[in-house]
Amino acid sequence: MRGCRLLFLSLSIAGPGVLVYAQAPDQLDTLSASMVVADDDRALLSGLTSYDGEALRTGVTALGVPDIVRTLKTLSGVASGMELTSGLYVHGGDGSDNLYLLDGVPLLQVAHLGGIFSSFNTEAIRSLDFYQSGFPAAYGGRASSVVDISTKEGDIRHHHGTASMGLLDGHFTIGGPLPGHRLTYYAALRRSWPDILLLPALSVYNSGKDQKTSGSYYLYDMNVNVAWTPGTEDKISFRYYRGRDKFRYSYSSQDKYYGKEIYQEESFRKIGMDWGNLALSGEWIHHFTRNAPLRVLAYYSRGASDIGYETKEFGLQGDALLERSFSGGDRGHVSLLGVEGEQSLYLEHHRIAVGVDYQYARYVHPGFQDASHTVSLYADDKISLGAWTLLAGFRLDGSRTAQASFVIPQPRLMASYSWGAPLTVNATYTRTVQFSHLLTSIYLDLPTNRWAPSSDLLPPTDVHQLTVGFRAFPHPSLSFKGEVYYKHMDNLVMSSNGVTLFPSADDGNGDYACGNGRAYGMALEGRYRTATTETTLFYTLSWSWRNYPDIHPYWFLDRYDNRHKLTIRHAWQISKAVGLDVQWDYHSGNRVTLPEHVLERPGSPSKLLYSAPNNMQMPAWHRLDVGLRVQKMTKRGHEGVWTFGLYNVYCRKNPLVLLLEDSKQNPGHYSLKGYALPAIPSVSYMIRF
Amino acid sequence: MKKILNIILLMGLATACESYMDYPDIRGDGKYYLECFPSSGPDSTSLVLYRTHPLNRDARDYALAPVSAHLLVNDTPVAWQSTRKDGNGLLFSAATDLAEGDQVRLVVREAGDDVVIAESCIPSPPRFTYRRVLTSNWNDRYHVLLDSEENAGRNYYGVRLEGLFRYTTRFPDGSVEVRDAPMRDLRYGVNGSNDSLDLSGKVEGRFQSVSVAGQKMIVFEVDGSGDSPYELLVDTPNIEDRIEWLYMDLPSHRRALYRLHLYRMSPAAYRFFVPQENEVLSGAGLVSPLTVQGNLKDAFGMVECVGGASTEWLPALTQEGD
Repeated sequence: MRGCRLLFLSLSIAGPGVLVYAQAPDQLDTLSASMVVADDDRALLSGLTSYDGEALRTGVTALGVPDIVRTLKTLSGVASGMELTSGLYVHGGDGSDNLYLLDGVPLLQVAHLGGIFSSFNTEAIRSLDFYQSGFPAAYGGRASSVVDISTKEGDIRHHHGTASMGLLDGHFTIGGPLPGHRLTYYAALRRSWPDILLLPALSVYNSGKDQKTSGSYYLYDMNVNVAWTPGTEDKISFRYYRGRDKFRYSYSSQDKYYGKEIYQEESFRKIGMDWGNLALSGEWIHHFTRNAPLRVLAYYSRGASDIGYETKEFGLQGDALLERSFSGGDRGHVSLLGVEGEQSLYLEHHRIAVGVDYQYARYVHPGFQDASHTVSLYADDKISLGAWTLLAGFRLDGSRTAQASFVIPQPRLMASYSWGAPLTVNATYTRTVQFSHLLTSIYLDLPTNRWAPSSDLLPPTDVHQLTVGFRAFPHPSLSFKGEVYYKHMDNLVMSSNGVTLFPSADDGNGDYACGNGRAYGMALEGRYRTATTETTLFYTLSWSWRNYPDIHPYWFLDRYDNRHKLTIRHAWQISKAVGLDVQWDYHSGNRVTLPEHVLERPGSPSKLLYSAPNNMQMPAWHRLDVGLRVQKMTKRGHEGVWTFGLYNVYCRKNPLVLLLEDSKQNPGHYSLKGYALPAIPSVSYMIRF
Repeated sequence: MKKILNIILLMGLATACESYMDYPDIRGDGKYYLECFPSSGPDSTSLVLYRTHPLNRDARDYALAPVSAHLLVNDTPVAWQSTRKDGNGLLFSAATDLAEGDQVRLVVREAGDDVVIAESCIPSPPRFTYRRVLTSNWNDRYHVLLDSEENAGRNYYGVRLEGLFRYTTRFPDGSVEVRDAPMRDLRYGVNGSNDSLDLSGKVEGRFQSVSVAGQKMIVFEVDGSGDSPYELLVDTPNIEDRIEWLYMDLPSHRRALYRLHLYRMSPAAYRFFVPQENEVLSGAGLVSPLTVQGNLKDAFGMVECVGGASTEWLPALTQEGD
């Protein structure tokens, strides 16, 4: 019976909507099982993609590390962004406009290592809902998308766990019952180990030298969930999440100085950077009746960074030895404290949800402090009228800081018409508003990036989106999903004052420009399934524009204006123990800014001139990845899984960076030098117990 | 701290493999490049006009076509005083006396068609007071104190020191001849008395020397973060009065005179003078695509009015003081 689970199902039929409650025999007295809901209004939304945790953990992985954001980037409607980074650019969004919820708690820093890994340990994820459009009114605070992640909970009867080891990281999870009545726990830990691998290499490098270089980097994240189910009507959960990155670099040198006497001193440079997230939450779910659940959530979320540096140098002035020391730091955080309450009611033709949220946000950066209070009221009503389903939602957000206040209504509307099971068409209109801005001059997830509340100079980002979509099931093994969208974005923010690693958080400095954007396109998805194979195709045709009058007087194309994007994925379960995943990705090149013209003036060096931002397109980008999973039972009866991967199988040189090079042989003529990632193999081993 | 960024980039590049590719073939004609900064006050307005050529094309194939430039102030044409050719460009100069609020329009015509049109309005001049001292290292130092209103928010300025030698000759018949000769290569330096260090490292680049119509100007920004009004220090070597012999056997008294000009400019004009482009990161698409290389449609360069205010002509300081 391995691989199969007996489930007890109970159905609640309310008009065309069907609620399915699934409970495993070992979880019969836990309300958590009833969270598996297949409410059919979700299937109507062409802008929603749902995953269970297993789907996120399988498939091809880059560098052997499964990553939810990289998985979402393959979907149609989402730009690929820069290779190997975790930026999510949805329907022309700018990457800072996605609402990441970890068990309902908003997270601010969602990436490790400059964006190479996202902050989410896939092993701890139970399910994920990703909205690109048709946002329910319950979601607010970000403008472009919602990534709603639910983490696992422990089994009420038995302890289970996993442990894995890969080239870059490893993880350990365990969950089960706790002593006491109806109490469970689940814990997951992930840690990278480039620092451990680097240690012997640096030791060899430094041996016998007066100059010593040391460096280390590691990340870890930890999820701990404790759930208590006192009765069939109530469930109380406490959750803890901690994700950190630590980077250290130092260089020291023993030198002699021949002045009045011979001095021997040690000079050094040291840099230390710590950054990450902390999230704590408590949730209570109470069913007044089976059709009237109440959910109350209280949380604390903090994204913080702490950077320190110290330099000590020596030099001779005349015969005297002078010492010059310099140290400094950059410490900041954004803390969110929130309470949410939502009451749902399932009636014959209505599914009603009413909620209220309050969030206090405190922003602390060097030379800058601010706080905001945001109150949100919302109501959703799903109305079922035969073949028609209407979702009428309304959200009212009010946000106030010491300097500014905003009250913005946000209608959320959806209508769908169903021709039975094979075809459903839908249309949505949503308005979404974002009351905080990510202030950065470099498009990497760096710990020095600042979040700041909206102000009169940088008003809230305001997005209106219209979509028309369909879902079709012409055959039991064949499905299609598609959507055309138009999105208008006001009050986008971009750095206008050059590159700095420590951007100002004070928008009054004039370091940031406010602009608009518009994006439109078509996203298509096709899926063909047999008993042992699944082939999926994602295609996007899109345009994305920006207008920043302070930067450039006219509209220009966005950096991720990828006209075409295509992903073909094929999964083949070759045998019970062996599975093969193949994925090919293609997209039109990203846009970069390179000089186009040259000005030559007598007596002056040539001046390179740019005609417009993002004026050049990089070469088209494509890559093939392969993954192989081999399952094997251990002597003790546990399940072991070997995962082998090969990234960029045919070693396509997709340039990450383009540098302008002046030809030495032919002065005045330029070429481009690109840097690309080669084929990278990976291997990992995981054991389930 | 920018080294951290370089380390991050190097870490990425170290794991990457290298490839070369041809630069995209840029077709089309060359474009016009203009620089013109009309200023309030009795000053001259200069225009430099060049032709650019596409990257990797031969500049000789993109010579400047016959072209005319027309300057209009409040819709009234202003005649150029001089026009001369400079390589593949033209230099124009006109005497103007512009005031705050004047509308300036510049039109470039080629074969009867308007190919570049630029319009701008003279902004308010910066408000400041000043005093002068002779420093211990024998410099004339201007303490230029910006009015407290200038400390609101971020503002951008240009400062220029102009000098001339005034020769006074008394002839035996009692007549006096006064002759002025502009100083060439006047040396001066600028600093801020209350610059605060910030972590971005921008302080080292706060004062940038630029060339405007062939003349040196130092541009700077004041971020308004200081509690007290911003004070600017302008130093120039003290030049004492002396006797020179312009005429045989007839002494002429030479005196150095200075005039300080302070200009208010727009953020776009400042960024034009102090470009923020980072070619490496722009090529990677990793930074904001800053291309403030002008405010002209279908042309490069900038035509933008600046608000100017000047001191009187002031003689070099003597030990007795101002």
